[in-house]
Amino acid sequence: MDILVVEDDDFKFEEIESLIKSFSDKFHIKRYGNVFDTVRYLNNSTPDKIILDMSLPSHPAKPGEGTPVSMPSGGIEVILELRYLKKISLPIIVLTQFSHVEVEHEYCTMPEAERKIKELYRMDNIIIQAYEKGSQAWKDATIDFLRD
Amino acid sequence: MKIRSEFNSFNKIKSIKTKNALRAVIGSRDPKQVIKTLTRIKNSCSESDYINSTEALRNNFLFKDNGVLRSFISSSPVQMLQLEVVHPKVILSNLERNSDILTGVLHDYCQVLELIKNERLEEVCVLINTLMDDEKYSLFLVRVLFFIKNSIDGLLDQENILTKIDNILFKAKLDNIKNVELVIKELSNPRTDYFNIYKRVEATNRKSALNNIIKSFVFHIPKSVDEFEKTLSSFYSFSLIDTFLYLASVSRSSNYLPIDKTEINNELIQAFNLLSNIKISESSIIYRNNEIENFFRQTFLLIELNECFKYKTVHYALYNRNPNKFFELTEFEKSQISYYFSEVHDLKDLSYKENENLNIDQYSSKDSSLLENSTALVNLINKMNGDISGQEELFVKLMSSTKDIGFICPGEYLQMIESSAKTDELRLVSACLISIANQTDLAEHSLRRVIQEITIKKFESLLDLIKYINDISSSVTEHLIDICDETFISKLFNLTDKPIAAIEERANILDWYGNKYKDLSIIERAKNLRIDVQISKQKETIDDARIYVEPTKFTKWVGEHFLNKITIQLEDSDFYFDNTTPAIDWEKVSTGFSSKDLVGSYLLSCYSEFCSNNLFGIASYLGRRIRHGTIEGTAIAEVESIKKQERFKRLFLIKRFEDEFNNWFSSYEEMLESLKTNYLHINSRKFPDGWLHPSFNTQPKVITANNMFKDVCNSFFVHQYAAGIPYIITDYCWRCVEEDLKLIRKNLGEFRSRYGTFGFDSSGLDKSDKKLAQDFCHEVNAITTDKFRTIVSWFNKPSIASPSANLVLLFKAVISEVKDRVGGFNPLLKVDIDESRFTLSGGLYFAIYDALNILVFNAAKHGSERGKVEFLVDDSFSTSSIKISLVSQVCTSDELELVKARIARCFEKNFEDAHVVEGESGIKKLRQMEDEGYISDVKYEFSNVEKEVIASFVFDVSY
Repeated sequence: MDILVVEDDDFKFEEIESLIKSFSDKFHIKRYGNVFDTVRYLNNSTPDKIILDMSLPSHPAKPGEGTPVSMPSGGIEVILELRYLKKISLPIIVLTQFSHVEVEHEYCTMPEAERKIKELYRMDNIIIQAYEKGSQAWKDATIDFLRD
Repeated sequence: MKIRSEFNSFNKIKSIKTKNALRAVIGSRDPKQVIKTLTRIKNSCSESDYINSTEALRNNFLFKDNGVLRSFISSSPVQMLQLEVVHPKVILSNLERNSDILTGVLHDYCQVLELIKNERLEEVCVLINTLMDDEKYSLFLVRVLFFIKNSIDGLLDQENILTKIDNILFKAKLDNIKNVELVIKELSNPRTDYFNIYKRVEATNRKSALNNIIKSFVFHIPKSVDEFEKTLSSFYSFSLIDTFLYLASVSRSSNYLPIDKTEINNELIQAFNLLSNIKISESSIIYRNNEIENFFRQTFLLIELNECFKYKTVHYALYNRNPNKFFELTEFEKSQISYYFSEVHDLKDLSYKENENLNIDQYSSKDSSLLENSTALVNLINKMNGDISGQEELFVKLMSSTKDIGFICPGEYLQMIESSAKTDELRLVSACLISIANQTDLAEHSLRRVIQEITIKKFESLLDLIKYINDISSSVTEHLIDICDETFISKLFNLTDKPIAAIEERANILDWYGNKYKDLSIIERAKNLRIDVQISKQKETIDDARIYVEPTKFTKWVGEHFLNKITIQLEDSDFYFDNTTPAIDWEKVSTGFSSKDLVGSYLLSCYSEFCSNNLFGIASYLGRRIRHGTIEGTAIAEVESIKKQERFKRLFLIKRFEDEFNNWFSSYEEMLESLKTNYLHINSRKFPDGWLHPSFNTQPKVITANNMFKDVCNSFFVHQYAAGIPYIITDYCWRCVEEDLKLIRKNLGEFRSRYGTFGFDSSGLDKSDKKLAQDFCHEVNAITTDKFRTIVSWFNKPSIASPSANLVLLFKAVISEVKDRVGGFNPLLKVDIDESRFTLSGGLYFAIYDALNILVFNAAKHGSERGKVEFLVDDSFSTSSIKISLVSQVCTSDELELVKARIARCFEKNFEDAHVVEGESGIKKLRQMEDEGYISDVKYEFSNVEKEVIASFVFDVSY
């Protein structure tokens, strides 16, 4: 089963990766750390599940290629891309370090953001979960997400 | 002759207590005392006694100076009562009692309008002055005066009339009704954003009389009895003349008013009819102002005139952002719209070119203005229920002869047009319109996708698409040029594979557009972007700046909240900035009242928002991209992991080592925690130790803020360009915040050296443990150094947001560009200065780039291909200037003589001499730059011994 992890923070990714591996070895993990690579990948491929960060850079940072645009709602951009590509039924879990998520220029609590994304973008299989280093809640939620 | 209107209201008061209370304010000039007395009466006496008390205050000469309530006034009331809805019958009865006086006033006002019509403006001023002396002042006169002010461009005695009007307005004590004055200015000023004002006025509550009066300027037809009664009562608390004018005005449109029109005095009605039938359109005064669109913006100033009333009714009903506008039209509005557009049945009946005329009575495609054509189109789309099939091409073409369709066309129709679009052109246009209308992430994403799809399908690049669209619609092109900034292009992920490509494409677009329309400022912007690209290519480090401000959101915020205010203050101001530094006390601007203080306070507010806004400001990025987990993840995890390494386990069996490391690690963690909780914040009461100050709190920031003020003024006064002000503000906000970012980088460096270095006294350990302990310390410190370097880099100003570059990088970029141009040029570079010492921002470094380019190009063309090129910077001779020298070598003494002679010839000749063209030596350009003040003291010196040419220039680094 292909699982796409969109995460720019190496440490957070390592935690996610080790959680997935500890849960099952049947997952093939693909990781991107920016919106550009993710969009290009999604144009041609469809993973089975997506673990998504919210705040992402636009492009990979490389010497001599300029500064990537910082996209605090980069996760939303990925969601809009999926919507455009008619991949709205893909299961997604958003793991975010922030208590509020910006959806359509408004800060929302996680349940509000989840409801709004489902309502506005018709992404019915989305879960938004708080990520906190060392906490168990996000791990449990992710395991449930992987299990479903 | 002064008005004497005395009635028996005082005697009608039944209660002695009320009479006595009122007697206490006879002759009073203290509005507070009057209001207090009225409040007491209201709370303790009967309703009828209260009404009679207010009527007495309004009409009895004993209270003529009360400053709160008078039927007839000579200037604005000192203070107005909180809104109280007065029964229309009470108002009608007062009107009836004063009908003779009011009829006379209306005749006087007719005379005022006739004089304006004939452009006898000096006489208008005299007449209005007399009317005010006779207590016949009203808001009508204020509006009329502003109409004249806005319409006398180009009159011979313009200055004289303006002074007279300003004197009258001063006498009218407009300061007492400051908000009314401000809204009149904003609404009637074509350089302000109509929709923005509309939105703000719409959002104001109806609790105060002044608010209701202000609202009536925009919403001139009440849509409910409640709205009518509140507005009428509001005018009633200002003056009886304005009350009647409002009543008479709205009577033309509403059948549901809670009054019997027959109760209005007939003579008054006739006098109003005389006034309202005056046709200002017959006068050339409305055409004096070049911008035809102004007429719509000014109609509220003369709303009593039938032609203004009808014109405003039609266009106000359609030219707004209300998506339900067609459901909410009144019968009166429908009939007016139907009559006005009776000749329009199809898209082909509209105008396809920009006309210069007004269609006041009825729409005609032959000479309709942009606004008229736009309302015509929207009305037609409604008639066609959004179905434009068969006329797609015409719709796209109409984009060049209409405006704001995205705002004024209901979204439902735009969606219908988009979903049924058969051509790529219409798909693109409708996606643009929807993104303008909705301004949502979803709409913007759809637009980006459409642009990408069409570009990939049919064109080589985004620029090619824009060129193609330009042949169809210049307005759509303009819109694309506006939106396709670097950030937008970066997000075209299927076209833009690296950030630098977005800047390159933006430069290509601007370059093409600037050249096509001969706009030098756009060409200059393109050139500057190319320099950024050149500089970025030279950077050998990864740009991972996490501090960022979303430019679109911030400029939009400035546009919505402050652009109109800044424009109004600058128009009103008597200051003008040349090259001198303005004396602005930034600590006091928030409490000042002068135009300069107010503009200063607006700029300060913009900067504060730039830093503190949680959605798009620096604060947002501090939280999201830096504090939350990222710092810990970066700075702790690897340090922790060293401890767990097998080879170091032995060390942790040594108690002293373990204790010392744990102590150090705790303080290291505490330091990171304090960065998160105390320091990496916007400084505020909640975070007094926050390192980012949303104010101009240091001298360098003050200098930058002064220059921001200067550039904003220049943009307005010199370039007559208000729309660019938000971009100027954004650029300077970055320059200001860079001061705090520098400090943050410095503080982080200090924190690292204080808390991030683990040292252990290994004396007493055996040799192998000693070596191991040293290795451990070395690894820990190498990691903390590396991690802090990364963290420090997050606080670099992103180059895409506001470019800046250090001088050495600039020099390298120039060398690289010249190498591409001059084959074989591969000099031995000598740069002996600290890279981080000289960083230049924005406009400044582009000038230096140009100057350096000329010098290096000359060195490449006339010097030794593989000789030395030395770059020298000297800042020791002045605190505000830097001298840049470029030393280059030639091969032989003969060549040196040739160079000397060539340069001498160039310097001797007038720099306009066609022989010294840019392509040949560039010295002309260099001298032009000197002449224009970008650089100074251009010199060429020579060393015969070293066979060297030393070229130098000086530039000012005031900000």
